[in-house]
Amino acid sequence: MNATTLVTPLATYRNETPYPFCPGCGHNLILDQLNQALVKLEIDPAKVVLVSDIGCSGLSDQYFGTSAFHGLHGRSVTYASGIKLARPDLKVVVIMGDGGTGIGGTHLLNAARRNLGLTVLVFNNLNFGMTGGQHSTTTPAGAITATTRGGNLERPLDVCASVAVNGAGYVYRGTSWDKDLADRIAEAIAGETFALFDIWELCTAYYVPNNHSSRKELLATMDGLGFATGILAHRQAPEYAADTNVTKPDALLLLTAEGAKKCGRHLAAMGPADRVFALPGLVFARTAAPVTMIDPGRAGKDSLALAATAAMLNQLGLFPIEALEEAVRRKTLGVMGSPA
Amino acid sequence: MRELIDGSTAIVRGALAAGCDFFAGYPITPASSILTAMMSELPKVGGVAIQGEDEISSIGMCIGAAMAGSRALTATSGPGLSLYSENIGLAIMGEVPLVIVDVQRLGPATGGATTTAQSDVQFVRWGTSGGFPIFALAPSSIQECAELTSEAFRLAQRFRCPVFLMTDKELNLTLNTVEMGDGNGTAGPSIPGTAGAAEPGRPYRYEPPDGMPPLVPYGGEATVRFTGSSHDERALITKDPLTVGALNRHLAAKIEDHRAEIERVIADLEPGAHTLFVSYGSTARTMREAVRRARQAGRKVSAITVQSLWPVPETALAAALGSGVERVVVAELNLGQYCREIERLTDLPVFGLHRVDGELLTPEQFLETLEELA
Repeated sequence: MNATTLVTPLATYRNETPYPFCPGCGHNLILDQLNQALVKLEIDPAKVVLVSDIGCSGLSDQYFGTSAFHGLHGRSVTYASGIKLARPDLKVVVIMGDGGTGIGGTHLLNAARRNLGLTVLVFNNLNFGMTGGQHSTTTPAGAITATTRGGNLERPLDVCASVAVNGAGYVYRGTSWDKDLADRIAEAIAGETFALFDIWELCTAYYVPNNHSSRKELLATMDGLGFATGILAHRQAPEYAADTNVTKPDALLLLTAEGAKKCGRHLAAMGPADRVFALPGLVFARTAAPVTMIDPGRAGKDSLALAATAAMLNQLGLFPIEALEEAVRRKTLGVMGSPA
Repeated sequence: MRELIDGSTAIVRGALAAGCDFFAGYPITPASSILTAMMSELPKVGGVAIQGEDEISSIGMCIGAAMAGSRALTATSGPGLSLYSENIGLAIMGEVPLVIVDVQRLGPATGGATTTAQSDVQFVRWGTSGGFPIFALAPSSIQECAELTSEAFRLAQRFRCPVFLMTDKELNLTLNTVEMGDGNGTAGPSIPGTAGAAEPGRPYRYEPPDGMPPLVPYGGEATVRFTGSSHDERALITKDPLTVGALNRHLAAKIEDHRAEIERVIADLEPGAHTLFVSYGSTARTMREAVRRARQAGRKVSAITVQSLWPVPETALAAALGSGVERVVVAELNLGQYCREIERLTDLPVFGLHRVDGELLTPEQFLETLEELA
């Protein structure tokens, strides 16, 4: 989006369809906060992709007027990664449950490690809601679920600590009732780092009746586990997709008619800050980059490319011209790769 | 130009010629050289290449990138293909243009990483829940590696579906001196879908059933929806039997109803021949050498190299099967996976020539078979 694009602020990013979730389900609350965050950011809905996982929260994207991707269980972060790598300018928000967090754990860790600029919202209701209330990787020890009738024997995963220690730029833990959740989500989406939100909430269909759980109980469980809340990590680090995505050359040297013909795409993409160098007489596509003609002088066919590279280097100062001279000397002496 | 080159290099050239600008893959012998080459080559043309944390993430990233407008490629071998399975289903359901190179090795399981085989012929066809059709091309030479990779991209774009390039360890890792064309794989013109212009809010089409909905990538003017669940034309989840039935019939029809136009075989039919050899991939090279020797010895023999494995090129095969031959020999490096496809097309006796010990079939084995059946 360039600076002159006018964006009409939207009052909502929701569509007209009411949420399908159970009465009291936390998903309703979190999605409203996500909507508020998008409203606050005034983003073009076509520049936002909601990537949803599987489970009740996987239905979420259908209630928004943004772009959306609904894929396979646990793999949402991989699709989001592909979208972000291909189009670093898009805002990619992942919605996954605690189920997706468990099965897709490696994808979460690796996206965090790369610091790929995704915003991941974990709708953590401590059990599998859609399939009948089985335990997940975040179910607290002792909790009753369909698959832990005598109480869960396993320690719950600290998803925040896992991604934070592996490089996530922004990490937040809270609940679906947090008053500042929309602001925090907006802050993360606006930022260009990997962000993860571990948002605890109630599953009124299974977890609440099985465990007599409530908002107060949830907070007590969190406290008992020693799980801190609020912003747990917030650091600036190079964002992976933008950092690695080279969409056009900064400089282009055109030597042959065949090469010039192949570079049409690059020439079209280059702007006034870029530089094109060319030998006289070559025909090439229109470009916004300033073009400098290089006089080949007395360079013969064998040394033309080298002479032109030297001439370009002289003007760009990408690295010292002496380095090129030294490289040529070593090549001529046949000692390339060994110290002088 | 004559060059010393292997199949992996030719595949990379074919992909670049076809405008490939995204690659994600995970190291696996014998497909790793495609990964390493793409990691070097794609940044030079403004593309993105990444090594995923596993095969699941690699194909997942390719699917995401493809829906964001990239021409995506991935490459793996049997064990990795097993991990691709769930996402192959997603690519079929979400109508994702994607090229998957399967450099086959000996299975099952880890099998033999450096031993060749043609082990995945039925796996790629039936490797996902629902058993929906896909395209699979099988080059039998280094030049075809480049050419058919480009063709795979064309088919993927046109039909919005995963397209497999089935090679094997020998084809990818053995250096050959060959005459490579200028194009190194020629990107045929991209043929538009047949379901009309893109419509905002309607990313999928089931009418006509064999029509391809135009792909609108993420990040344009309009919002775009994608889903891997049973969906209506707006990509909203539905259980409505009429809609779901139309969707699933469309996914089959868009490939099955166009099977005739993408048939690719190299037919070498000799009048008066009693035996027809059928093969594909590296085994077809052995077959062609055996045919040359047989004819040198005065024997009449016919041969057909199948380049489009899926859908089965039934018209071209029927012509070869009806050319007056009395028997068919299907040669492959598995225990008869493609043999069954030939058997269902003919009343002629069909014999299998197989090898599953990690070695190639030899021309002598073909010639012995010819003698035994005479």
